[in-house]
Amino acid sequence: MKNLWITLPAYAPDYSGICSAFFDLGGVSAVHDASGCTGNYTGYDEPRWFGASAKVFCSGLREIDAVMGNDEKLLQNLVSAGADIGPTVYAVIGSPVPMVIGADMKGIARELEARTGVPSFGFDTNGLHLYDEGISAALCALIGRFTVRQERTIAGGVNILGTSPLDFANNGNDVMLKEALESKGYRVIGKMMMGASIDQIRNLAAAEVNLVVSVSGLAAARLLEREYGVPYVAGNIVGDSEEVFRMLEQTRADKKSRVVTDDAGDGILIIGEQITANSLRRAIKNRCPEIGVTVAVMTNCQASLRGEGDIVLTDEDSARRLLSTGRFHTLIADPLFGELPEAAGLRVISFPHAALSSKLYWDESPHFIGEEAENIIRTAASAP
Amino acid sequence: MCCNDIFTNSLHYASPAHGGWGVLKAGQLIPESYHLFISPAACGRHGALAAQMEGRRGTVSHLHLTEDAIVSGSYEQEVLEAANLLIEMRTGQGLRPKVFSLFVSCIDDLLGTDLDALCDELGKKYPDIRFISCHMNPTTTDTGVPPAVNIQNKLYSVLQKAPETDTGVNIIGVLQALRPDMEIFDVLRRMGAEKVRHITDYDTCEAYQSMAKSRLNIVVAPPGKYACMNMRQKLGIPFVMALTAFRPENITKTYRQIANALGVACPDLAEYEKTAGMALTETAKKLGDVKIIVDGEAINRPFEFARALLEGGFTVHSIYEQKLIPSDEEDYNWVRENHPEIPIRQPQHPRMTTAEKTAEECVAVGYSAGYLSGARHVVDLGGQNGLYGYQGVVKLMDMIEKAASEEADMKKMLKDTILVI
Repeated sequence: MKNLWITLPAYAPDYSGICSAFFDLGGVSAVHDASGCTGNYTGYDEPRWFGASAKVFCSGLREIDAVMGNDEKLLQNLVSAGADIGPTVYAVIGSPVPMVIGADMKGIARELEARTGVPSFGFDTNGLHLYDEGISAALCALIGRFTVRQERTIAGGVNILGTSPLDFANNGNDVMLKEALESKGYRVIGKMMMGASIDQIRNLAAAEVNLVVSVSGLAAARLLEREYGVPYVAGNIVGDSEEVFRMLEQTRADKKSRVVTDDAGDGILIIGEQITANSLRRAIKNRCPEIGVTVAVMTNCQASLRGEGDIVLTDEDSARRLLSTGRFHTLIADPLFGELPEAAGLRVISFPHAALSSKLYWDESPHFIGEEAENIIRTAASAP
Repeated sequence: MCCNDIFTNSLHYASPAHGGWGVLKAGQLIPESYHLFISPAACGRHGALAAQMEGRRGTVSHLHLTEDAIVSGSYEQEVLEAANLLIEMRTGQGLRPKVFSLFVSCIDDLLGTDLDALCDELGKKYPDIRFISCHMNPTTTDTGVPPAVNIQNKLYSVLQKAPETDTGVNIIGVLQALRPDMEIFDVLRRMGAEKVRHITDYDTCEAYQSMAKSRLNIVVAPPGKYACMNMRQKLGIPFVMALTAFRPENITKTYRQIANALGVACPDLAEYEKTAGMALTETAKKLGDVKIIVDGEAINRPFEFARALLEGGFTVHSIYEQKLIPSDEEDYNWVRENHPEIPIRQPQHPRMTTAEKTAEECVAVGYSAGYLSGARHVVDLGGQNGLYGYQGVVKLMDMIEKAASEEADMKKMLKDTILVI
């Protein structure tokens, strides 16, 4: 049945994406909720939370405040927390109840900024959308506010757009990506959003090219291209592949944006975040061109990244039906997909996705660059 | 935050150590029950993941509401369709539920879904199944029936009045059974209670109904009181407040109240009381200069516990409590009056994120106090811990002594403890 999830959990929601994006910025983030929404983020969507200095709070929304539309309590508590903490920015983040009562999160942020002088952002998130939309909205809002036009670009300057522990885990994938780029002579200007800072955001327009490593970074890349003429490559470095480096050089040369994508085929099914899944498919096909690989996306699927025959999954039922088609002998996906009864009989290659399975498997997330991903590619390219 | 007499309203900080069972896990205690969680996708995520981690995922499904469904109200039809599908699925697996709950989240308080009508309609179609509505709505936290109270009421709402009463008693208020080595079982037996019942004793709904035969409900934690008020009305079972205590004299007083409620003489408890008192004083001596940090998330009445420690000779470093509960007010006043030097900290206050960790040698009794204070030693103790009575004191003293002898691996401790907010 549509929208009925019997076995799989929901993916991380939009408000977790906002919190994740603001994590490194030294701000105060407040989810306007009673407790459980913030608990989703702090307990299940943020692998960096233990020992973190990030200031993410719950507004402690109560029924009477919701019914009476009492935004003043939230505002006063935000001001008070800010007085203790001294934030660089504020993020005021919506949840399902503010959606139902029509709370104006952007208006609250404007009022907050007027009272404190601290740059403040409001997000009408509602828990009905996914984390990648949240990260994307946060990134675009921050770029719109802080990024400034640069007199000249930095040769070899590159921004990484779209890192988040929800897609990249907390195992050093983001650091390895930066090091890989630097090893090829690139200078990484902005690390959006793992390792981000307000200063980095100010300087994003100095890059020659943007590397978009997840769908979360795509809208920001388009914004930077439109406003500052910075082209992008949408692809992730997977295994030992040189593909992305080649594309970055081409894009530096001709200033044209590029995406990694291929047409779908039967044989291997990858379910995951679209850009990493596309890049993994390319790496498998580079090793074994005749193999058929379909990418199925249950998070936000971008038409511009979608290969002919790729599939949008809307819910658990659609995933179960796809797995039952008999078109695939191998499944590369989060282990929770592998546990569905319809996956029985398929060769399952584990590719944990923290945005789905959270702490169940986030310690087992593979390194995208190097031997761990190479093993996945080798296994996938071999006969089942 | 730590002004000793002010429990302030603020933004809430949720440390990695904050949380407990969550209402879904509580609802799943009903034997042979199945749960349909109806909410925006986000609301069900942590419950689904925690259920997966603890092997409870098989008895809950989630119906994710869309914006269109919320605006149009069309989800009510989807609820019926989903319930039908799930009941048939479970029946096909030989696991036809006896109780089926429709679980909703905060927004339902504003949407006003007619859950009773849905339960009625489903009940007509499946007369052998009991349909109930449950709420995960922390927006009601400061009302008379917050989620932790409401879910306990739901647990016992499926009990039907028994034709006759036996000599048994029910333990209400805690979701985890009391530890079998607690003396309460022996004391109650001596008071004539042949059976001491708790919801976790039962695997079938039929067997669970035996709780309706009990002659008395013993409320050992405050969230069970509302359920007992309703059970008194519906099932005719009286109740007695017998909250977990750590001061030996309070424990004796509590047992006397239970005896009084049962209409029997209280057995001689002097030896028990002496043992508990000695456990406190001897552990205090062994710990020497090591101080105790008290956590209201692990101990229901942290000020009563702090007073027991202080009277036993311990030094209390600090007390972490978000909001004072009425049943702890007397001991709060005692602590304030007699030990004004002890800081009282709200674990969810934003200043907790900038507070310095303690450099003193301390044992924290509970996860939040352990994480927030930075105590080197932490007692591995959550809110559902099964401690009760004199043996509860003895056991906790053992745990404190053990914790004091080893450095806590807080990260591992929290990883092993599935917490839901």
